[in-house]
Amino acid sequence: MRACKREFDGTVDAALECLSNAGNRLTFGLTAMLIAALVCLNFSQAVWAGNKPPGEGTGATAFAQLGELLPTPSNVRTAQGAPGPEYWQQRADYRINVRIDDDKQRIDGDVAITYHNRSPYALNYLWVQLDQNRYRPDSDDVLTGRAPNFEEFPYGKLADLLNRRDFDGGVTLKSVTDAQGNTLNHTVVKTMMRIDLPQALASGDSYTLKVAWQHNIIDAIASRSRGGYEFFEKDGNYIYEIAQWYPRMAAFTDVEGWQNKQFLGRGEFTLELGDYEVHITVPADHIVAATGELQNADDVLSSTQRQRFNDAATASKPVFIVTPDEAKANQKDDTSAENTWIYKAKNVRDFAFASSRKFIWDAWGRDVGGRQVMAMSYYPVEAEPLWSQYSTHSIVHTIDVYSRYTFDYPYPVAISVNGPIGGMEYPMISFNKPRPYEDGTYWDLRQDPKDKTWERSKYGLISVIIHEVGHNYFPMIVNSDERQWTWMDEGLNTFLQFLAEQEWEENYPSRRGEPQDIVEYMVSEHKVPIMTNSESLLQFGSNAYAKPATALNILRESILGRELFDFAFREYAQRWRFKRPSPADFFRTMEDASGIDLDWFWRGWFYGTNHVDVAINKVTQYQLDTLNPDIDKAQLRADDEDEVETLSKQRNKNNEYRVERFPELKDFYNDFDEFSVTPYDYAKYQETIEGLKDKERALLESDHFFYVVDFQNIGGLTTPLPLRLSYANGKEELLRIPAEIWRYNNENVSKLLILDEELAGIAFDPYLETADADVSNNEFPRTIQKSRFQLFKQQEEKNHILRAQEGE
Amino acid sequence: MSSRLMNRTNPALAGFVLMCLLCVLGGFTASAQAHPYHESSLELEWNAEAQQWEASLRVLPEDLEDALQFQLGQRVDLIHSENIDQHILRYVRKRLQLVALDQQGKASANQTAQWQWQGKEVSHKAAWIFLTLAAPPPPVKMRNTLMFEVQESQINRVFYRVQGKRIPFDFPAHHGGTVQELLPPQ
Repeated sequence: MRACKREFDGTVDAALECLSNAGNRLTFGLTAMLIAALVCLNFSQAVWAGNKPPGEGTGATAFAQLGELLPTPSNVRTAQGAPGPEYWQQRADYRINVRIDDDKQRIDGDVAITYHNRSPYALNYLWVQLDQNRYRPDSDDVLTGRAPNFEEFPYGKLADLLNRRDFDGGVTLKSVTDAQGNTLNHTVVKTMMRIDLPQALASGDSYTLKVAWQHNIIDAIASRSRGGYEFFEKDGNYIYEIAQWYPRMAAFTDVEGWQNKQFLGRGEFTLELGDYEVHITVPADHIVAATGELQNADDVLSSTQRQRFNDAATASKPVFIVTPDEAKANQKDDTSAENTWIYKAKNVRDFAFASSRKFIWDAWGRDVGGRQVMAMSYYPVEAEPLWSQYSTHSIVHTIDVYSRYTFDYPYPVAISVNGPIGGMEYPMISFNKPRPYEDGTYWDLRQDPKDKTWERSKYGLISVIIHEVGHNYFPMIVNSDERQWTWMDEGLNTFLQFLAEQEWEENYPSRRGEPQDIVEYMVSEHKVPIMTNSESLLQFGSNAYAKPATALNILRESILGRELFDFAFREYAQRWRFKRPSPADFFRTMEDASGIDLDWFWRGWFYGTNHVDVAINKVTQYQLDTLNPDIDKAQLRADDEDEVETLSKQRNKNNEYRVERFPELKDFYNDFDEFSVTPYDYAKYQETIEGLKDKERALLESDHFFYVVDFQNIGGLTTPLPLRLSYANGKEELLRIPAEIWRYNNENVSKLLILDEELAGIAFDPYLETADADVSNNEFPRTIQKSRFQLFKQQEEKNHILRAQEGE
Repeated sequence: MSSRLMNRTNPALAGFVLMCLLCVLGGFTASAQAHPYHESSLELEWNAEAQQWEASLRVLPEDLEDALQFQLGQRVDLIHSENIDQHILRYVRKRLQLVALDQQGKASANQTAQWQWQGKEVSHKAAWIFLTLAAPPPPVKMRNTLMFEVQESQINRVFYRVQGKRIPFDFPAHHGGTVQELLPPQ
């Protein structure tokens, strides 16, 4: 057997040389002389050399089933990832009276909680959350805060700490009793309270307890909290956004038992679903927005407002219920009279509200799956004109898109409120902060499509509303445990946010979702797996929002495809709506419903910290020998002539050779043309052809090109291989190789491509779908990547030329 | 206002400084849309032909506006505020420095040249600042404390383009990783 072949090692130099030699066509001038065609396919050079590729066997680890990492399936949570026949969850109903003291910024409230024990267990005690205790000066949140970096003068952090030190926060309990008013033994443990029951609460029984309390409302601007007030110095008014404000039943689940993660600030909450009736007493000139439906519009709204509200239900665009002019007039006065707004909400896991005399209010009724949903926005004049144009539209857009990917929005209202909170979600209501820039020329700016400040406010607002309204689906309805897993709501929600943004307008400037936008995080040093508890996450936003969102986008576009993914994702949402999923339920459902084993994907993206970086290191062409001496010897001659003539040979051409001076020194071999075809060659050819089977003969006569492409997985994260093949005739083709190609060896893999055309180049991830961190090694032949600075300078030069031309 | 104030032992003075700050901050922390991640990214390359560092700094626009507000005591926006480019440049010069490393790997005390403004691009998604620096040539040590004073979760990523590679370095506010040697691949 003779074999000669030429390989390219993938370096830029080799590839460039190759290009110039071949006149812009990459040719791999290899002839592998092999005895028979089929042998050629079975015996690669590497096997003969005895080289075992490094990393052999690593695929077993990368593709190992999650097995012991997941909890054992049961009749409560099945191996399919669905709630089982014995699934249970608790329930808690609330009746609350609350009053906002607009002079002292204080909440006074009393609540009657009816707790339904649907677990199979008897309970001796109940745990209640008192989240406001996070604001006590001696809270764990304050005590366990790490020192800021004083060398860098941490203004923001210090301001926050000093505010917290001076704020008289925390819950003052006035009474804790049973339904009859008998005091119950209770113990406050940091941000929680244990209530000792006189008798164990049997499985299936209910119990009513009452708590009266009081707490000061925190300055949300200074403390960056999730609820609080904003004070407007100009007109002396407040906006209140009240959240995590009443004693709430801690979750009791089949996974964790009683929720026992204290509230430190990040792990938001996990709660039981239930029905609410809340009586909210505020100054009579306030407008109140809340979770649920208003029960006493006749008492608190004027007849004009009620008429507008009814009109809005069937309008073709948002309708003002309180106009900007009315809000401006309203904020000039004060009153000592009070009104009580009564709201009811069914099947929600929490209740939040907002109140202010500054509110403009618009509404727009939409049909969702045959039911009417009122999308409503509440905002001060400071938020105009941005809010009246975009807020309610953004709510409706969110419901349209999210419902398509999950389930029909089940609640009667969806609300966006502008106030001091940057972006925070509660059932049916969300708090969103962006306002226009304060230069007084917004309307004019909007006319200028080039103005980037208006654009920034607009996209900032739309994105945050999509995100916060989107949280109704995850985790308000698909009720995952935020204290444990931030990604289960933030990651899934950020993923759908990306889809919704991309349906708003072409090329919407999404900050997260595109694979290339996660690359910098993926190669950074300080990171932990997505499967890390909420309070211990490093690089919180990138870890729990951006990375899972991007992973799901990749799973959808590059691994399962849109149809399979969307089916499985919707199945997960529907299985767990109004129920309490764990990570395993998500992983299992996605596999169960798609029919694709994704353990390698969860392992890599959710349990690991590797990144994607695949290099194409080498491309080798194998050309099948036809065995026909007329063809093969001509090819050999051509190859021989292609050989580089060394410098010495070039200079030796004029030598006076000894054999020329003494011809008697020549023999047969001096004149023999080794590439001439002899009768022996023909005889040998005939003999071989006759010995071949028909199939083998057909293969020999076929006109295929064989390439072996060597891939290296430098980043370690397993990925499918989307490839673009560029042919010498200018045509292109996309080839998708599933990630399972790495299942034996997760570090190095060679792929044989049998092609009908000659290859000119090959590129991995040509459409930036895998989050590959180093694109400089993706193409063959290599291309040179420009720096962002060089691109900027090029663009600038182009602009200069254009400007100069325009000036001519 | 310099960070050295914090090292002095006079608590009254430090307290006064902080009280002033709080007055200033009260109105400002609300100005930006909150987002749970605070990251910047700097791509940096030594252009041997032009004998200069060429840098592209990408920040979240709200974060840089917050930082400038702390500095200037008034609300700014990256497009319309008066002299905003000079304010940005001054801020970057203060918080992003390169110093020479000698043969023994010892860093010199000072940066020998100043960053020069080349341009900016601002959009919702990101603000890009383009800069050059004439000296010192590599090898260098970098101090990068951009926006460390605003958010304790700030992390500044640096990508050093050298020898055909793009080498990542992290400067996280919380770990005190303010100074690092920018070394080519081993």
